[in-house]
Amino acid sequence: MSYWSHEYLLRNWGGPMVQAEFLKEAQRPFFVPRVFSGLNLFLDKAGIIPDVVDLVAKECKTKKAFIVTDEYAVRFAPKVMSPYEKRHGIKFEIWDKAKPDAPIDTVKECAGKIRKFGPDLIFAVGGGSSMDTAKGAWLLYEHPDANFEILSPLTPLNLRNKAKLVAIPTTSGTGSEVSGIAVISFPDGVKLPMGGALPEFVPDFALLDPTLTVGMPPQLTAGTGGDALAHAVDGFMAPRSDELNQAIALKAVKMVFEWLPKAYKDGNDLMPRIKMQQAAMMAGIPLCNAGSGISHALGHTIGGLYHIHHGAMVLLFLTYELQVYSKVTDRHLEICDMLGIRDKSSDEKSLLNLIEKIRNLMTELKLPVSLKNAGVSKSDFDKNFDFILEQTPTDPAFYFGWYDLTREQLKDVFLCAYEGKLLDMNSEIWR
Amino acid sequence: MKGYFGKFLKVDLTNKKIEDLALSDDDLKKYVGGSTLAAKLIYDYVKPGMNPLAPENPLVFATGPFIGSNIPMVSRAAICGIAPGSGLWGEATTGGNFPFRLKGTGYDGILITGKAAKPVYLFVKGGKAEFKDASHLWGKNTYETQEMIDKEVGEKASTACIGMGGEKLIKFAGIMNDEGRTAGRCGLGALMGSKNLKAVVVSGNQKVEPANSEGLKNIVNEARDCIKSYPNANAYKLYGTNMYIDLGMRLGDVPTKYFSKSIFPVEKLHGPAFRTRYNMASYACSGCLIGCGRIIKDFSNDIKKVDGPEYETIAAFGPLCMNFNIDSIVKANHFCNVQGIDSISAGVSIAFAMHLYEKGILTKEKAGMEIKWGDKSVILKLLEMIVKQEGIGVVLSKGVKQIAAEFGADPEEAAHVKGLEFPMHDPRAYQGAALAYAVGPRGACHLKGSFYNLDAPGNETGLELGITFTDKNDPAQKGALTAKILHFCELYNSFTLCQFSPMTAPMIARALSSITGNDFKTMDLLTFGERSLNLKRAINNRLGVTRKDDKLPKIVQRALREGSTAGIEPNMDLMLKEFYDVSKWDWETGKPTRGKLMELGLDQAANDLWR
Repeated sequence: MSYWSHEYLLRNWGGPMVQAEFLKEAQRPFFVPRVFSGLNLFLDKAGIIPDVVDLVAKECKTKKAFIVTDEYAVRFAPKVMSPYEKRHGIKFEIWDKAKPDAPIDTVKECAGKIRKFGPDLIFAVGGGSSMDTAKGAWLLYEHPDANFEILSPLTPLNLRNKAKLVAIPTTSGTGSEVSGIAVISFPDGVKLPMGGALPEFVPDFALLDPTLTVGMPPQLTAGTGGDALAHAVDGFMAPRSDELNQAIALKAVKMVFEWLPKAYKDGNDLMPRIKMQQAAMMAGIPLCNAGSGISHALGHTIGGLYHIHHGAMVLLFLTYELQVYSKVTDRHLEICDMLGIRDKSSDEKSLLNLIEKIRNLMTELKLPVSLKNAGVSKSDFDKNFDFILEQTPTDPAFYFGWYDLTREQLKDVFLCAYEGKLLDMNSEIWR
Repeated sequence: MKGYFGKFLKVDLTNKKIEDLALSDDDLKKYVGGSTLAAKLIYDYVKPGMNPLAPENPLVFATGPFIGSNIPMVSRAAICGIAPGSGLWGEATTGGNFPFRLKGTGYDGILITGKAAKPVYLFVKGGKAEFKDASHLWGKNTYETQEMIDKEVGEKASTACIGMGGEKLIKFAGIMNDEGRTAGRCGLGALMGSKNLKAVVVSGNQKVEPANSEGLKNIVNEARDCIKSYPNANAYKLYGTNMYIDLGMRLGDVPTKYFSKSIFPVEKLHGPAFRTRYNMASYACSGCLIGCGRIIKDFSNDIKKVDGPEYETIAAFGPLCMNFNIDSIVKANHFCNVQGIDSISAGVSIAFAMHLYEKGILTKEKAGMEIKWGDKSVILKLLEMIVKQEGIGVVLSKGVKQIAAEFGADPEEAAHVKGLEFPMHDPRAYQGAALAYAVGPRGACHLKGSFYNLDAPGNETGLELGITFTDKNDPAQKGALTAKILHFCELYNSFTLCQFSPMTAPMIARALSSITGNDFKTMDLLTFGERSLNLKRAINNRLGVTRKDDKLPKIVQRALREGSTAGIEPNMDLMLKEFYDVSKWDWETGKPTRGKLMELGLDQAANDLWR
């Protein structure tokens, strides 16, 4: 199958043009939803000040709203629907068959249901996969002929003719509730990010209720939180990231370091849940508006191949990304400054301090610091090595990074990651 | 013919003779102006084996028909001669007010031969010219010279002058005008120096009537709209030519560590880095709506104003030398301006010294100093030694071809084509550019095969001529495309038009028609360009160029091991064959065929090359 990510123009010029400073000044879109966060977002009775329920309901002229969710998060549907039904007489239909990685056939199935029901408001309730499924189905609802394979960043989506999107995350990590990207997977194993020319997939509303994330198992908290940290650091380091995105990313980094260990230790303590939900949402903003990094490309390949949690994998590769990027940018020093770990006498030492800080967090959260550690057997790894090296560079997150890694460099990253060793930046291939 | 004064000023410095040189309408129609018209005039002086610095070697300052019209971005002048560095065709262009005032003198250009007995400068105004003593200016730097001449002539004038570089006949000496504008390449400053000509000073604002003022007015409006909606216009305004460095690095187009790498800490030197560190203003040539020139104000206690640096200079003294100290790049740039030397060739020569030092070919004993990568003080020291002609500076001032020869280095490591050092666009980034370097009229020149511009996505300048966006790494059919791009690019230095102008081919053709009254069709641009290229090629052939010279040294062909061009080598054999085929150049001799020359109306060249 031919995907947009293989196109010559995007493959060879996409990265360079994304990076170009002068193009940043040509047009800088910055898309965010209207964000509401708090404990009282779904009250059956209006309070003394106007609340989000009224604002969202105003968009629902047909009085029909559709919920896209999965078999876990469907438990939150009654809470979500209740105020809209009671206060505004809106009728809901629920589809709870969203699957991990948003397979294209589920997206199509969902779109069929939406079309049949004809709502003008779509609620995505769940983690990244539910929200991405909802985005994909929303596009097909508006444009039944849309071809996902070739829907490149050069194509406008032309959404919001039929419906608007409300995102309600139940995990704290993906950032999909604020992002203009939907990652859809295809039967041949390809996971394709799509967002069109402008981030039109950015939901109209993001409703962040921390109680929906209470009770997440510790490892899911750790994995999703790791994802948030990777987004924040990626969003800060991405070539396209500007001051606006960086300001948000930097604060998100700080919040993750501060609150993730607490959220991990006690899944029922609401305060860390609130903060991590905020941090994940904030980290999603630069991810959407500035881009991700090679940690995502590398993480996608391994995560997809060995079914390891996305967040754990991207965090594992984040430290390598920082090393690789240090050849062209010293932006990470600002993160060191903010975390108080900058070594003024040595930029190299500062980078190692940052990597150590990230790795310490991974250890504390019992996230793998090597592929070996993540349970990938050496023989399996060797067997798939060529595939890994072939697959990774086709990921847009790879070529929208700072520069193209050669096969030899990529090989070195994966081999080091297998053992959990850092790259030797003074070696011949990195010098 | 409309659009011209129909005459050049002809100056014989030896005999202190000044006269008018009439230009025929036929010649103007055929050669249009600028560097092409200059090539036509210089052609007659070319003799095999000639010494470029001999007094009889002419130096031409030429304008084109566009100058003086209200078309934006046309204040460019071509300065041409047989290049002191390569001994072959040499041309360079400059902007500022000088080109506008040059035409304002009432001449289309100036042809200078001979050698003055003592330093002089030439003052041209209102159709008249005079020699003025320049003994007191000899030894002065380019800024001092311009300032002193300004005071002496006491009116609005532009001075194109040489500094120590030209006076000391340095092979890559440039000519400076309007403070920091440079005709940098090909060492034409040395040619001026060899004539004891310190400066050419022009004053006046005479204009010629266009043939069709109404038509021209429409084109001017169209051109203005075109520039206003040109996506890169604002980028040039903001960052100048250095807007390219980060995009270029990603494309593998910024030569690094003397052409052996392509990835470097770009954020230390990119557009925003300069804007953040310095108090910067922009500079616009006469009639330019963009203003890509940079001015750094209050750089240091000693240096109140710096012109530039441009992208080429930043790359040459930056990544090419593995130097990421921004201040030292500005200093090196200013030094080149003040002393009047080409920052590209200077940077490449210094980087070559660093390369040879690392390889052990150039030792501390030979060099008299350590020459390590990225040593900013070494860069500044070597520049000074080049200009003062001290120590190793003497060899470095001769350019990389000679450096390799004198130090016994592999000639394939010397980054030049036909004696002209490579500019800051890596031939591995665009297959077509590699070919253009090999066959272009003045050696390794980035302006004649500007693939980084014309073959970039979204560029519509040459669309109607079939210059379309292609896969930059695919050598297939690049011979034909390169020929087209080379032909098209010839018009810029001839008509004259700034190469950053987004005017499309049909607009350019219509503009020429409206100014001159000749019916000039869009496709005629290619015929004109082909004539221009072949004429310059014929000059080079007469000076000894054969197909064997149409090659790139290995240092710039060897596949890199990093970045987006990793593993890529230009497929020179394939492209060169195709280029020769479509250009109708003779594979055995490297000369354009008699038939091709005759077809282009270059009968004399046909007879000279194919006696």
